[in-house]
Amino acid sequence: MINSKKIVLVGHFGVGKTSLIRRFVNNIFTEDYKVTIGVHIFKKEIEVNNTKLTFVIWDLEGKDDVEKVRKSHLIGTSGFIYVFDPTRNTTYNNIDVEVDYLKSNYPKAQLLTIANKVDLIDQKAFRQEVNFPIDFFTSAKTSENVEAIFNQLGLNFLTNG
Amino acid sequence: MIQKTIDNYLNIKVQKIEFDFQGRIIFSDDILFPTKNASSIYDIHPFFEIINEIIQVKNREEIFKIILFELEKTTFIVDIIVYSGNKEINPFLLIFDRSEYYTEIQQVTQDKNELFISNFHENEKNIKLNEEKSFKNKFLASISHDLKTPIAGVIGLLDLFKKENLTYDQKELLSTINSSMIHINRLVGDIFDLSKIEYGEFQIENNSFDLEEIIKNIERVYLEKFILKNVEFQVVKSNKVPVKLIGDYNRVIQIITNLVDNAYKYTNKGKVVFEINLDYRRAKNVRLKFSVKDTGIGFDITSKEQFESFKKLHHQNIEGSGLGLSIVIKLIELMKGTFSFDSKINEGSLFEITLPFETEIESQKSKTTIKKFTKIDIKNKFNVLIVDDNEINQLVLMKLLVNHGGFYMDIANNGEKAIEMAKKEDYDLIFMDLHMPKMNGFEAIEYITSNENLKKSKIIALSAYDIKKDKELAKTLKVDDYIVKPFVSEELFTSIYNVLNIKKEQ
Repeated sequence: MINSKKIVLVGHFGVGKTSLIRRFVNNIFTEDYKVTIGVHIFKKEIEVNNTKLTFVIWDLEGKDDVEKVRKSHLIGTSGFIYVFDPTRNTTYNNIDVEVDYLKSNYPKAQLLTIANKVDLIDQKAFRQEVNFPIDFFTSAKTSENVEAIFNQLGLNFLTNG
Repeated sequence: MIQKTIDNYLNIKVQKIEFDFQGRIIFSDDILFPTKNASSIYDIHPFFEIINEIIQVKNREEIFKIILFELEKTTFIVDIIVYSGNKEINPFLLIFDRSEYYTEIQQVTQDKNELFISNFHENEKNIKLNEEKSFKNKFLASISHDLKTPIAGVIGLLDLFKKENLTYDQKELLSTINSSMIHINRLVGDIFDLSKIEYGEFQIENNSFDLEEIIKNIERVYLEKFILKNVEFQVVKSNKVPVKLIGDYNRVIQIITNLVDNAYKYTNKGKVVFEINLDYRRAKNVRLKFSVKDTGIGFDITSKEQFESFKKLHHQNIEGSGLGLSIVIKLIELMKGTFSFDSKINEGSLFEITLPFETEIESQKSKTTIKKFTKIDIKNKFNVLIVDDNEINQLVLMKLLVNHGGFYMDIANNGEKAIEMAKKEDYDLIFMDLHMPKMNGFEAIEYITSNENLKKSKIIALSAYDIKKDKELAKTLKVDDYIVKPFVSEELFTSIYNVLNIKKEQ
């Protein structure tokens, strides 16, 4: 019996998906950018509201279009984390379309949008600059809000079954 | 041999694992990794948890590419085929080891992505810098234009003042004010030029002109100044240099004046030599070499920022904005010339530039040769309308016309008022400022020149902008002449005589 929840991180390359996972799973951060090709898979157990949850986290290679992600890689996904880099507008210019695609094709999955690298920007000014919803501003470097994303997903799983 | 090579190339290790619908391993050849310690497929690696989803549907086949497999002792990058099985066949997995191939791809992708991201940030930085630069240049162009109008007014008034009965002391004072205003005017002009060059709006013009005239003017202006400073000033022109040239007359003057002026400022003893030589000649195309050598205080040639805008060669108390050489270099670039220099502290400097021109056939008369100005007495008075929103400019123009005599004058503050007045009164000549509030000069000119009852009035356009766009636009609107403010009375009356066809025998 498998009780884990599959979480997939999507977004353009270089936005910090791997760094977020490494910070969350191993509590490590390095400034070096190491490209992800294909898929890396991690497993971590967390406790939310006294309930233990196991996450199997799929770190996908960055794509500028979520439709280009291999469909097989998304089988059985319970939660998506859409990560973008607020210092590179090309990573969020099309976020509305990307998020709509995920919501309509994976209606049962939870979805959070994450502005990573918040240590490099003025968060307040950025919120005023863009008009799409952002669930969390995170920094894998400072670990700001990294656990919060996964806790939020855990809560969403518990609430929505 | 061939088949062996192909087999070697395609020799990918493949692990086969057969399991039941509960994930229990039935068979594994353990080619890549052992499975004996795993009670089910799900214990090997978290990837396999996805199989639980796949086997819910019979006869399903899914391919997973480029999966990084980090196991206890080794790491593989694999492709995996999962078959979900049916009543007769158990589900199975095929794991293809493509580590070598994908590791190579990883490096290529790494380089590509790094380059992409660094280019993106570099580009963003450049866009931001250009926006800031563009804002600065627009601001400078606009503020220098705004300054030009009152400066033109003051210079005009000073010109009028010279003609009054003044004492020696008053004349001296007036002369000092006048030279200060001319200096301010030049500085503002420099800022205007530089901002236009950097904003990309600067145009090099091609007119025929007489180089001899420029050289004589430089000699006339600077010889006396150098004598007063007790510095020798020599102008040496090779006989091979053609004097009838086609190029940008005003910019050539600007470049040479800047270089000679620079030598004048920084040389306190010895001499300054201004030389003009022929660099090469091919048919009509010539390249001239201008050099200015001084025995002045020199400068450190290793300092890279010396010719940037607002950087002066020295920090001594010598007047100037530091814009001169920076403009010279930019103008030379625009004119496709070259610039070089050499200098030794306390020994002197040498500036050499080359500029390309076309030559005119010597027998042809130069179009821009300035004729000596002679005032003409006007017998029949002309009816003139002055259209300008600036009261000083109105006053200067009025005074000049009154002092000359022969003109009735009316004044309008904007284009709208001008049209209204032109409808009531027949004007022989309209002076039209181009930049005014309400209705600007361009709109008013367009209206006047296209209206049958008004178009017989001659129009002289006035502008503080010495820019090609204004001139071309004014030309398209068929104005009779175009004068750039500040102008001297000779310029104004030469234009008036020409436009109104006033000749001496009148």
